[in-house]
Amino acid sequence: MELGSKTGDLIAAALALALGGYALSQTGEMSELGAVFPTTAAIVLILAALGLALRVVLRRGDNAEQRSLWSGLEWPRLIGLSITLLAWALLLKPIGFLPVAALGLLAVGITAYRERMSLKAFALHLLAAAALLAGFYGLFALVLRVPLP
Amino acid sequence: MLESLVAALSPLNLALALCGVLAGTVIGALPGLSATMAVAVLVPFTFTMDPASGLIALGAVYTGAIYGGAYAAILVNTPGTPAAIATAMDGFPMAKRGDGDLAVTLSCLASVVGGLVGALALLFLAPPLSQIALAFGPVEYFWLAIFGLSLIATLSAGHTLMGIIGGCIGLLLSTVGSAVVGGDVRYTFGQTQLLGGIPIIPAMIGLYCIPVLIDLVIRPEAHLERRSEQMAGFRLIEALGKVWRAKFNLVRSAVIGTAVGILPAAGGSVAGLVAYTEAKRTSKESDKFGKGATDGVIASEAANSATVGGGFIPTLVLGIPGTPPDAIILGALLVQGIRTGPQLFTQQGDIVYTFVIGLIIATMLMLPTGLVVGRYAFRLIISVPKTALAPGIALLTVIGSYAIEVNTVHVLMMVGLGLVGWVLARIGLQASPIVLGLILGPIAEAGFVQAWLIGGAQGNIPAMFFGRPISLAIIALTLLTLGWPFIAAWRAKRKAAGAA
Repeated sequence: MELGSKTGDLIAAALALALGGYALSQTGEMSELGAVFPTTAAIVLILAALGLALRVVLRRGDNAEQRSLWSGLEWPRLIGLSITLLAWALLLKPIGFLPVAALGLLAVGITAYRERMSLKAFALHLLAAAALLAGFYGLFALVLRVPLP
Repeated sequence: MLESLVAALSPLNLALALCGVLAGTVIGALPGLSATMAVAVLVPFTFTMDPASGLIALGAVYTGAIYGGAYAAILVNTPGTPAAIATAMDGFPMAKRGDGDLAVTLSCLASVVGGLVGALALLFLAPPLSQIALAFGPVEYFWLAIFGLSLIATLSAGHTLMGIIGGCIGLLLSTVGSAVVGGDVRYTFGQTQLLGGIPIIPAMIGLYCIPVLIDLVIRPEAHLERRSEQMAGFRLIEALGKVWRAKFNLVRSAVIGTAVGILPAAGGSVAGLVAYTEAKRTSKESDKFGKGATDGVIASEAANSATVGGGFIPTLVLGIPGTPPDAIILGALLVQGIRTGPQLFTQQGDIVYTFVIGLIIATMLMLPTGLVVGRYAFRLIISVPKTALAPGIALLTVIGSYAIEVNTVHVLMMVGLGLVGWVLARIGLQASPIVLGLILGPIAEAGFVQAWLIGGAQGNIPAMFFGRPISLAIIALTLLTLGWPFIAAWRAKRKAAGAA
């Protein structure tokens, strides 16, 4: 993580300002009691964001660290994993727990794959995934009686 | 009481205590499966048992589940239960640097001591201590939540503004849905799925676990550091030494956990956070907290395990459950025909004392059980290759966030919050202040609004907020916590100037 990055601070301040501004703008539609808490939180958020932005401006000359926030990322893996997780969540209800989980496990395993794997190792991975899935399905659906989709 | 001791030591009760602790530990270790769920699942099985045995089984599951939450917190940075949030703050950094086995052993020792302190308080001090629950009104809950939020300053030393921003985002997230008091519908964007608010456990799984999963997949390096000697033992002697050196922290945290457990609705997460804050404030090495300080793990685990015994105090004496699992156990008590109340310890003392002694035995059994289970959990996590670990974690996050309320929308919320949480972490906004705001927001808001209404009805709102002794004590502690980093810096500066 890139704690302390000026770019990060500026993005955080901008996000917080936008969120605080939006939250504050919605409080007009609330009752007096319902608005107290979100108003307070939004005002503190805006003040903290302004403070953060001011700190970045005042430290303009400080060039201690300026690594890019997004350096060292493996974008294909990141995008692949994000899409897999979102699809897993969205398809859970229409397709059902077992088929989506099987596909999800396979897809996450592929995105995490780095080193060449022998056929035996690959078969072992598949076996472990099947055992994991069967174990969790048994625990949740049969033992804990959680109605899985 | 001797008869109760003999009854508690019967082979059946010992077996129930052992199996209960084991089952609770495993269930608590899985993110999304809370102690409440573990106890709720087991309740029907206890109806056919005699009352004391049934209660021992439930108490053992509960105490095991609270401890089990530490494994996932330490090894994958995802608190298995909300009670283990503060454990993750130092437990995971310890695991990252190769001390995961030590952190697991420390958490086991601290949990046993904390659990014993809570159970002994239940055994000897239940009637007088239950009065604490009655002394806490809405305003005290409000200030207690604010005290918990002051941890943000402690958590984000050096990045206080980022911490405040994270905390406020969490507070705003906690206001999504119907308002706790008044029923205002807030920030739902017209989506009915958001009326119930942002669910805490799926949010917690998303914010903590998805960033870990992403980093696991996109980074080539190993998930946790591994030392060659780590397959050898539990590092028990080393852990015992550290626990002994932290004995004041341990006892103080256990007492805090017991006291917070007595308060209805406060629970293990608040206890762990308050004890962690106090441990950091009073530590000579407070700068190490958040970077793998053993004292942080000890404080959090001793406190959250002590809430088990503490929570039973108002449950048994007043019929007011201290925590959600206590509410389920209270239901089981009523089914068994046991009437809670101040006379319980005299009128049905045989059952109650057998149960409390059984709880103490179960807590002691947590030591061997916890060490062995922890050892295998640790070995498993560091031995499994990423291609198997990452899919396993992904499956856990999905099933855990779904199972808690059997809702597929919660899975989507978990993934969405997790992806946002990862981006926020890249720009320096960490998950802990956000989760803290999300958990403490409803407690603070309900307390604030109710106190405001009561104060308004009495015609003196300031006196309601600032005129009650317990409130004033909590306010003083909050100010001390907020000001401590400055006081400590000033003292260090003065010391350095003196030395020069």
